[in-house]
Amino acid sequence: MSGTSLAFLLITWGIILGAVVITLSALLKHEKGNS
Amino acid sequence: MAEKRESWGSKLGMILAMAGNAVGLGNFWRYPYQAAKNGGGTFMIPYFAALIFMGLPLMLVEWNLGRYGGKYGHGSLGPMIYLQAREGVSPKTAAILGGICGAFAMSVTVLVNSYYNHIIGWTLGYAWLSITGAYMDQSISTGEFFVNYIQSPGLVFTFWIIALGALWLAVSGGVAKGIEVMAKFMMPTIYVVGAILIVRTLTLGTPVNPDWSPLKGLEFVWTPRWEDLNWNAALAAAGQIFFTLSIGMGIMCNYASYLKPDEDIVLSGFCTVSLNEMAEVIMGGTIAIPIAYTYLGIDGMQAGVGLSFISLPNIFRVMGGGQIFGAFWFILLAFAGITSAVAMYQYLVALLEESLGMPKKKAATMIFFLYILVGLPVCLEPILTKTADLAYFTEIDNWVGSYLLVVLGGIEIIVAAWINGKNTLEQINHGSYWKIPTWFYKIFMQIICPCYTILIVVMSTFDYMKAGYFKMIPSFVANSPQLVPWVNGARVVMIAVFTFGFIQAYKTIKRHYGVELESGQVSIRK
Repeated sequence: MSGTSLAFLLITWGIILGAVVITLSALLKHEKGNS
Repeated sequence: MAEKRESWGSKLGMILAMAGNAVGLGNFWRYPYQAAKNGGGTFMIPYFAALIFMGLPLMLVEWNLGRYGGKYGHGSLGPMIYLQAREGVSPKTAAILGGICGAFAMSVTVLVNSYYNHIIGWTLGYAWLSITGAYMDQSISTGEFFVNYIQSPGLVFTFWIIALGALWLAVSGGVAKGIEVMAKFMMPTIYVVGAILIVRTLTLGTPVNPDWSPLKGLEFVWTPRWEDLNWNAALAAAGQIFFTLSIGMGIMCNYASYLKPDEDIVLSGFCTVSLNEMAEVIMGGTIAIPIAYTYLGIDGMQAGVGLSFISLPNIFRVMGGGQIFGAFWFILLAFAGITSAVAMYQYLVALLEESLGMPKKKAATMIFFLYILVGLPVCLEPILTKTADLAYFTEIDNWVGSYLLVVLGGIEIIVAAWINGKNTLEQINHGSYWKIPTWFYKIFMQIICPCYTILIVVMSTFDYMKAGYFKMIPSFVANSPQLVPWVNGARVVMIAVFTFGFIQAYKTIKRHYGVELESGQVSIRK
């Protein structure tokens, strides 16, 4: 894979996975706090 | 009425059901062939633009429409649109807007599922045929095998009814005990099976040609080719965003209507989009495309809709453990399809409960038979005409499954951001853990999203005119006169469902808010 393609892939995957972890953990934290 | 409404059992279950609503065949079946057909990396640029500028704002708008409508006891889109539109226009105009949106939502949930349930049936059928090794015989092409499959009444009907039965079971169990329980089982399974398939895909090596490898397939998807950017890719990307996020259908609003009035929607909306994109971009893009590239090279990228049912079985025939991985692939597709189809099913059940006060089980059974009725032309066409063009399916998908979604999305954002104006921002932020800043709302939701959506509607209209979809005999059946009646039949059905949907939505609004329609004043508030 070329450097540009790899960078595009890694950045995008990183953003998506980061968003999943951040939003899911924040939701569960709030849920725990409310229960 | 509002007090009697069901609600989600837990936050995690609700998020999984919402993500399941979004994660569907669009992620694993439609996305790979759309990305491949539209130039891989060239497609990804407008795809992310559409996700950020249309997908995210519309997701928030639909969650808000749903939660706000749920407070008034509504689960269908018509009254939800009315409630927001009446803040900026007269109640009569708002009721007409609600009627139109309700008609669109009914058209989508009735007619998209008329073929969507069949595709789920095909995936279940192919999962079974993978396990039994039925398509492993290399003397018959996989294209011919697929045609034989859709022309076999026994196979088509059996797996279609199984798919419908699974949907009936989930919906009739209720929101918390049926849909949520199903999502808690199916969604983790989708991610686990997807992960297994990714590992297998990336370890395929170069079995056919030293230049064809999974990494080359990934390179095809992830090389941003700015110079190849074109309108077709932009329109396809916008359509994909609507289809994959299940927006412009009314079904996200319906699920959100089961939230409590003070429950978060911003963080939950972002979480749903993130989970959907993980399934689509990371999983959907790392399975089908690299597999096809490894075995078929760049030619495999042109397979179109046949990528899942024709190209990939070719590969499962020759790859190590192909039967098992073929079964995994089709079960993945089936589960993804079911978690989305159930939302369309649930929308119609909620509509019957809301407008006729029908008990849930009875409503679910009625919709079961309705789906059989509207799905019959889809499966009978190839069986009776001995063709595989699926003209009825194509006509419905072109209009209801693609065009209408963008139009409905456009009306929703105009009602929410322009007509309901600032109220929408306050409503979205009410009870939410994360707050949408005013600048974001103004720039993204009041300017960019409506303009982008209107532009896509206009360009799609020109595109459809150019493709000959507005003609009495559309271009895709111009050389197949025996299929013209099927296309005309599809048009009659679409007009009938739309008309019925409008009347139903308008009557529901009138029954609840007749006083406002007569007086021209907003007086009912909760």
